[in-house]
Amino acid sequence: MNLRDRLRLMRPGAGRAPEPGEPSGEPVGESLGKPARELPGGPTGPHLPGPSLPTETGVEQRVAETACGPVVYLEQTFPLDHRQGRVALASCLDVPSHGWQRLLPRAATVALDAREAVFVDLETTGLGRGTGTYAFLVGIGRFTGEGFRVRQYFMRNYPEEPAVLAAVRAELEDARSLITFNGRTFDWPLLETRATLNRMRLPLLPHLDLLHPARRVWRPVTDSCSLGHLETAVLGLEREDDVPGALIPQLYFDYIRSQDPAPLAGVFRHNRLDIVSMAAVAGYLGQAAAAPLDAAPAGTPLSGAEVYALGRLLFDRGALDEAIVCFREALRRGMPHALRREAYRWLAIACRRVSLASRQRPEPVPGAAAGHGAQAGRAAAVDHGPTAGRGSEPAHAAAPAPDLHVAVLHDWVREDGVSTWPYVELAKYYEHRARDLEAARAWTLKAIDLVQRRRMLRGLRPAAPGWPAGAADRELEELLHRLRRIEAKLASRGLRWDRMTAQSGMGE
Amino acid sequence: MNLAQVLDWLRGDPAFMANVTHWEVLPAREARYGGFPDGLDERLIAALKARGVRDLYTHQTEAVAAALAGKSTVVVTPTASGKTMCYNLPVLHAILQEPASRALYLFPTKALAQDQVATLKELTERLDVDIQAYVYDGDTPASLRPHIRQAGHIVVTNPDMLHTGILPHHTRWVRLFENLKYVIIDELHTYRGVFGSHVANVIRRLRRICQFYGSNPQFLCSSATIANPKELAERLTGVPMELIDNNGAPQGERHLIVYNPPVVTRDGLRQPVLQAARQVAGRFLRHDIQTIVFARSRLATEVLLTYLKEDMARGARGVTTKRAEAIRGYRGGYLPNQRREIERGLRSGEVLGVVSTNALELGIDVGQLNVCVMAGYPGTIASTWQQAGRAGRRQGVSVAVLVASSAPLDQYIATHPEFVFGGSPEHALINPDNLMILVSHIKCAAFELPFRDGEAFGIDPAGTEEILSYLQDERVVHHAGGQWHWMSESFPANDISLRSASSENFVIVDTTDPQHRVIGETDRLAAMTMLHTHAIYIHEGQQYLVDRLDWDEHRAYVHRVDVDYYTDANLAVTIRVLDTFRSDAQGPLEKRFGEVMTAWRATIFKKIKLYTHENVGWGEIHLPEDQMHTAACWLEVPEAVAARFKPDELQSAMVGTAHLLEALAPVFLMCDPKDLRATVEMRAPQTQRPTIYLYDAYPGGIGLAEKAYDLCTALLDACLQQVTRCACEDGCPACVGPDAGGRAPTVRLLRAALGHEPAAPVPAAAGPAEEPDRRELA
Repeated sequence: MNLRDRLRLMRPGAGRAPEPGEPSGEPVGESLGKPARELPGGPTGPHLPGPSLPTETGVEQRVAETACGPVVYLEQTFPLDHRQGRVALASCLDVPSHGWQRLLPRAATVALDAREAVFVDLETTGLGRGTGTYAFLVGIGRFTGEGFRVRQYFMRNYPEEPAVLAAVRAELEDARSLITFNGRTFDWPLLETRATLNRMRLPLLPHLDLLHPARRVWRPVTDSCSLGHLETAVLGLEREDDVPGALIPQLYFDYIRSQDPAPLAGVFRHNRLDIVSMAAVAGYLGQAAAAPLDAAPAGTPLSGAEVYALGRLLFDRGALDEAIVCFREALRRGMPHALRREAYRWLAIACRRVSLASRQRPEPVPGAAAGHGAQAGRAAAVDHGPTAGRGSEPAHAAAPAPDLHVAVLHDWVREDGVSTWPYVELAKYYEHRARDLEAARAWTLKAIDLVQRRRMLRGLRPAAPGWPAGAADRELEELLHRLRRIEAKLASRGLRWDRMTAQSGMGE
Repeated sequence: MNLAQVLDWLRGDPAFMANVTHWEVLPAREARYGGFPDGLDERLIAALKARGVRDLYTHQTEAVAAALAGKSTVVVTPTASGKTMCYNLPVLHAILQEPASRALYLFPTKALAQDQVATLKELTERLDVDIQAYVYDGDTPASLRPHIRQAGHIVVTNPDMLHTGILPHHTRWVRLFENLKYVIIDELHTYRGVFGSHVANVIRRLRRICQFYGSNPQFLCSSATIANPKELAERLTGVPMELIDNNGAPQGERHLIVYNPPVVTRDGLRQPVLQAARQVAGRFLRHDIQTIVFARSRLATEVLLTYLKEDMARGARGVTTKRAEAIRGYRGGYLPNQRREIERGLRSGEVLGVVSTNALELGIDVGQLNVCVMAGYPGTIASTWQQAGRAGRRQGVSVAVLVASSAPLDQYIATHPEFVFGGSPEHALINPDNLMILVSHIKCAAFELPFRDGEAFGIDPAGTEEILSYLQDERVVHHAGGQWHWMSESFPANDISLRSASSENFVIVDTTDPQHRVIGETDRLAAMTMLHTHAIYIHEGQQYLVDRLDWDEHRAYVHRVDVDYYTDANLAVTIRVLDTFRSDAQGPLEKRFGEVMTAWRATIFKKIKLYTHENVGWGEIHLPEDQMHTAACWLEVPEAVAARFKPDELQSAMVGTAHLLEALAPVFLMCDPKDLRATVEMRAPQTQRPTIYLYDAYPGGIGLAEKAYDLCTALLDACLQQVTRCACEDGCPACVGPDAGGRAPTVRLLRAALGHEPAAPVPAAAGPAEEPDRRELA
């Protein structure tokens, strides 16, 4: 038996006789032992023989010369007023640098300018990482004087890879930043791997991966943040006859074997659309991040959910005042119920943090009415700190102005009445900060009442103080613990007042 | 009583001594020193001295000097002789001299890797230089990985991780591969058979990638005692090796005892090995002497664990469960953290006894144990020494007791103890050019770097090209521009397991509590026989009933039970000859070598009562058949010979001979008993002749069957000796197997095959042999 026959026999299931009609698994017409068929195509000669690429109107086919040989690419320029769905490509150019800054990772310190950025997207021979996955098509978009130009460098056969990479390197060297969608984990490492394998080095550019900000902004309202999904949901664009991404590697393999590029037309189009959409999404996100309240990149103001999500982004960047403005505006614009609760919660947290920060300032600022914008709110939150009331009757006599978040919590309770979180926060506030134990007890009782009612709705037995608590009852157990503590404090009040307040001030 | 007193007591106990067939005392041995080799970094010497190492043992000196001279080495010394120093010193020296240097450590298991990093840290802490050593395996947190890839001087991993996690991603490891100075392969002897053949190919891939990045690492190997360490190291790595076996480490006094359980029935059956091992271990455990018990299988481990826990709880005055808890089990299916806990317990002394499969045979640090009891011959001489080495390290008395089972191989050893304790250990065989294995790794290699025309991978360039063009037919590579490129979406390394034919393990889910829990996992073949529906699966001494085995999802659902039996499954094997490469006469019989297709199916299981081992029921197993294409050697019995036996006699003779061959062949082929199987067909499909097959238990074969073909006469002769020497009346598990009862016909068949008997047919018995002819005519 020769080597190949033995190999065939050893394949799993090879022992069974093939069922009649069962495909033998052998490509038709390929005989045994024949040396490998050399396929036409290869990077030779100035005329670049080999298959020419499918043609489309507005798309030019060109050849670039590189140090590693010539490479074929397709080029199309979109005018600046081109609208990708509802979003104009030019919106990308209007994004101020602080808008980009907010989309970049927090540590990044570069100033990004869309005019000097390249938008990169790859089509590959697989989705896996590792050295056996090739990028056979590299699409690169950039703004030029005439508009948004997309070039697609194509590997007509494996030996052309060095030339493709050399062309890509030249493009990158001509740019100051890199914008991708999911490029941080996929496209860029893959390109670097390809370069390393070809003993090449690619310039390291500041990299904005749109997937991360896109997830932050749209995850609260959409299940998927894939580019295709955002294209529909955000840009309002429906692709027709698009090639499903999962089929792309096989289409390329088929092309390599047949050398007929016609079926690849859809892949080129797919890649080109991805790049244009990426630029549009970048413009949308940049505009939105720069001015969440005023931006209307798709012609209409942002939704409440988007404004809320941008508030969260700003909150994480430490821009608390702007975050507060966003949360308030998001609540005003309206959004799904579950998200409203989140918005209230984050608004309360942001406000509490502002209050805390101002309290720790050495110079107190005279108070002002709370609740109207961040600046005013911050001033209103200032008081004389926990030691101010010591020694006198606190909470009533020299009551400090209430913390900024208290009003938010009251609003929330009024609107919602289902979440226990604001009740607990109010109880904490009154117990430890305002030192109004009666109020603290009242809020705790309300919270307990809420939990009990919720249990009854679910058909569970009502719990009583001292009842053994399972894991599910932990919330209730904590509330009861809080209640007992507050009542103990109330009972001993007046006897050892000073010590009590000193201790409770350290409570939570 | 301390251990020396227990030994005196045993010597004076005639009941014990009656069963001892061999008691050897190896005297304590003094250390021999060789000094620090010239040129070894002074900082390193200072750090060693600060740790109390004032000199190196002779083998360490030689090994370090050879490595510093640029040679690849293989160090062969017993357990606990300080062999890690033999590779750690050259590695640290290289990093001290050139901080960019990198080293890659390969250990066969994750647990060993963890141990090694701890050892390295102890040493590097004393050096005033930042040397970073990390474990990089499946458990390494993703957040730590980029740092390790960039900055780890020493990366400690296992062959599986190198295979799937490092080589296919080599562009992320540029720093390592460009500066790779040393590759360390510890526990070299574990890389034999199928696993070794795979690992040799992984190393071919590693060297190919090193070459791409311009490095050419030295290989520093260390091995337990085997017959051919240099040959194995050279086949595994493909580089010439310097052998270092001048052991200078001290050794305490060691007692080696072979215990053959007494004959307990009139037909010559011996006391079951587990019962005997239970009694022997109990003699030490009762006196609080830390003891490790090795069992041959997972099942045996669990059964013994149950016994010993019970004995410990009962043995003390009153029932103390605490003593039972000091006995633990240890085997492959346990989860890692559970294993770590047991290892710690052994070191601290909290765990008094451990019952283990060969999982603890390797150099996992469990401290100094006093006694090792082997319940059954571990299968190879190398393993026996490794397991015995678990007891007794550098000082003090230690004991290793080998308790023989009734298996022929064990009985052979009980009567020939010099075979283990005096003779040469096994050759570790690997066959890196096994076609199946080679093709798998050529796929991986093509994924990692395109093959150039004329490039050779293991075999010659023409063969490599033939395989590549086969892979092009299979549509996974593509030839263009003088190179073979990977052209598939798949990630080949994930489909290739280095350890067994199947890459997917079966997960065992305990459904006793509403919160389901994964308690362990097993491989495919073990799942067939241990996790079939209604099997009793034993884990940490707890019994579980398998409610359902989901074959497609690779899950077994079990719940806790308390029953008085365990289950044992039967595998039915069928075999078909595909091609015959060689044939020759074997007396009046014919021997052949070629390729076969084997198929096996779990058919029924028996319920066997604990303690009495009586059969209390059975059930059917409904699982799909598994197939394997492999190499086999077979013996055909022509009509002329068959005609001299009555039909049932012939069957007994065939089964008996197969049983003996399967049992004794590993001794002659120097392989693990698991690597070779025997089966019988009374009427082979192609020839209609009664046939005995001996085949490699791995797709494509790893060279054992062919060796059996060459050694056929010697093998049959050993079988004949064994069966004529056996003390039983008419067959027992120690000779012709448990069910045969056909000692006399087996002897006759063997004598015939060896040409000791005339081949003249006996006319009276001609009838049955004519049956095939009649069928052909009809």
